[in-house]
Amino acid sequence: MSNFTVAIPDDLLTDAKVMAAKAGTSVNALIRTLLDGFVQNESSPMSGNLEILLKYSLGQITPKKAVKLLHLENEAALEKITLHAGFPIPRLSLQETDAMQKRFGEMLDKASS
Amino acid sequence: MKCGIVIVDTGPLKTLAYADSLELLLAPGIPVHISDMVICELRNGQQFIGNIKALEFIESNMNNGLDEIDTGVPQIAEELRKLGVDPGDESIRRIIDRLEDDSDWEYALLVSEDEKFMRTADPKGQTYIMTTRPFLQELERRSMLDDAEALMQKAEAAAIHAGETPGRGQLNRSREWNTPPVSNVLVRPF
Repeated sequence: MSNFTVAIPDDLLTDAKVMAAKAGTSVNALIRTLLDGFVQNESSPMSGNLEILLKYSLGQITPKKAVKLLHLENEAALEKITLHAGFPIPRLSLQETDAMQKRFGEMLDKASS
Repeated sequence: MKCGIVIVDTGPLKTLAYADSLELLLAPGIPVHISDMVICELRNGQQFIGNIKALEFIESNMNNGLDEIDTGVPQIAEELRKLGVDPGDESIRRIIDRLEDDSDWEYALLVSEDEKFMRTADPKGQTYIMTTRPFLQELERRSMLDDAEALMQKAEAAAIHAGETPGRGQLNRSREWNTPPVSNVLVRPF
C-alpha cells in the first residue's frame, strides 16, 4: 500500500475526523472507501442493456431504436422488460399533459355552462 | 351543438379496465363515443380480462351516456390489411374527417394511448387529443377521483401481472388480429 499526501481544508478534516470516529473508523479508511467506490462506479457503468432501457425510459431514444438495439421482437416486449427492469414507460412531458388536462377542463366547463 | 369524448383506440379502455375504474369514463357527465373499430378490436381479444370488462361496460352503458361511432371500417378491415392499411389508423382518420366536416360538433377530445397516433395526428378546429393520464388528473382536480396516479399505477401493476402469467406470450397488436394473443401487456399508462 502506498502513502499519498492530500491537502484538505482544516474544517473539513476536523469534521471528517468526528464523522469517522462516530462511524468507528479512521479518516484514512474513509477516504479509501470513498475513493474505491468512485473508481468502481466510474469504471463499471450501467450494463449496456440497462443503459438502453434507461435511455428509452427517459425518452432519449425511440422505442424503435431500443427494440433494434436489444434485438427484441416488438415494442410490447420492450415495454415489458422496461417495467421488469424497474424503469417507467416513457410518458408525455408534463407540459403536454398539463395542456391536455387544461383543454379537458375547459371542455367540461363549457359543457356545464 | 355536440361535444364529447371520443375513444379512438383500445388503450384507455384497457387501462381503466385493469384499474377497475371504467365507470370514470362517464363521471364527467358528457357523452362518450367509441369507435366501432375499437369495439371490434376488443371483441378480437376476448381472452383478456381487460377486453371482457371493457365490452361488458360498453354493452351495459350503450345509449346511456355512451354510443358507438360507425366508421364502416370493421366491415372492410381485411381488404384494408391486404392493401397495407392499418384498419385502426383508417378508422381514426375517418373520425377526424367527420369531426372536421360536421359543424354540429363544437368540441371533441380524442382519447388515445396509441403512440403513433399521438405523434402523427393533427386534428384541426375544436378537436383535440388527450391521453388517459390528464383525463384522470382533471377528474382528481374536480374531486371525482381520489388519486389519479395511484389509479395509473394500479393499471400498470395489473398489466404487468397479465404479462407475467406463466406459459403465456406477449401481446403484439398486429398479432391480435392474425393470431389472437394470450396475454396483454400493451396497456400504455401515460
